[in-house]
Amino acid sequence: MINMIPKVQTDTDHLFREIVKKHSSRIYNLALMKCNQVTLAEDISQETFIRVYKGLHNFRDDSHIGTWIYRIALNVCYTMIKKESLLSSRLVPMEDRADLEPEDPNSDVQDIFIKDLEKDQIREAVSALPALQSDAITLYYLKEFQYTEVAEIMDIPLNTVKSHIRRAKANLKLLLMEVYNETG
Amino acid sequence: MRPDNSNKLDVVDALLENTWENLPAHLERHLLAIPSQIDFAQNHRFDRLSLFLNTILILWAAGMLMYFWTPLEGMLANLAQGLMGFSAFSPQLLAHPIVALIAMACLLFGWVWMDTEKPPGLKKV
Repeated sequence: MINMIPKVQTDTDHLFREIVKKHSSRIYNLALMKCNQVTLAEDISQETFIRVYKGLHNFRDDSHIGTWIYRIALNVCYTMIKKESLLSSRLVPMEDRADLEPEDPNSDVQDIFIKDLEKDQIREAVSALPALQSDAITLYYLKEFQYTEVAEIMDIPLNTVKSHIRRAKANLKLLLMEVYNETG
Repeated sequence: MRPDNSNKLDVVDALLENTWENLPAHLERHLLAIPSQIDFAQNHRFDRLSLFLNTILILWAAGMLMYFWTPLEGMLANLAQGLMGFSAFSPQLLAHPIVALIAMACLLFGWVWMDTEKPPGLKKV
């Protein structure tokens, strides 16, 4: 039987399978961190990979394929989270307070408290961070990327990424302490 | 599983590390099936079986139309004569306002339909 599937098509499908194997867990965790809902994270993952597959035929710059995929994932996150109106979560999106409050001398004590928080509570706190801080710390936490690649994905300068991650960690501690105090 | 290349710095790093979830198996299956589903949706709208069945249906409809054409033509002509005052097969039909309205409605509907983004049908797991 004559193989009717063009070679380019099979190459693309093969490449797509490799991409799914390599990046699907991280994309799913990125989505989960951004929205803290399993069903929506699955939808975001699917939509991301549908867009990746559709764009793969025209994608030529293999060296940047990772950053390209995560940029798509972030865009899909924003679109779908906005559509689902997830901003009505229990924690309201916080203002950046990292510079307003001095480093707590008892931060080690705080660390002991917040270590006991549930995964959901941590994700909820991350999703309540200011958008750029949330993006930066989530991408960095995936451990796929260095600062430079996070900067490339977010299309911002390197030092700004470092600053966002530092602020995100400080703000996250404040948020997690709030969550801890609420749940008591 | 997650690659083990972590370099924990403080409690926040450790907390974020612990939020890692493994990819659900069903989701991975769905993701891997995306190419075949998209190709099927794009290229196989009329698969062979439905093409065969539709051909039979079209031939049957054409046969019925030919067989009953004479009484049907008479019925349509009478109906049009009664409603509009001229035959349904007259060129005057094209200038009738109701026909023009229907044509415009179809044109508008077709325009909107073409401009509407179609769901890929792959949204739900």
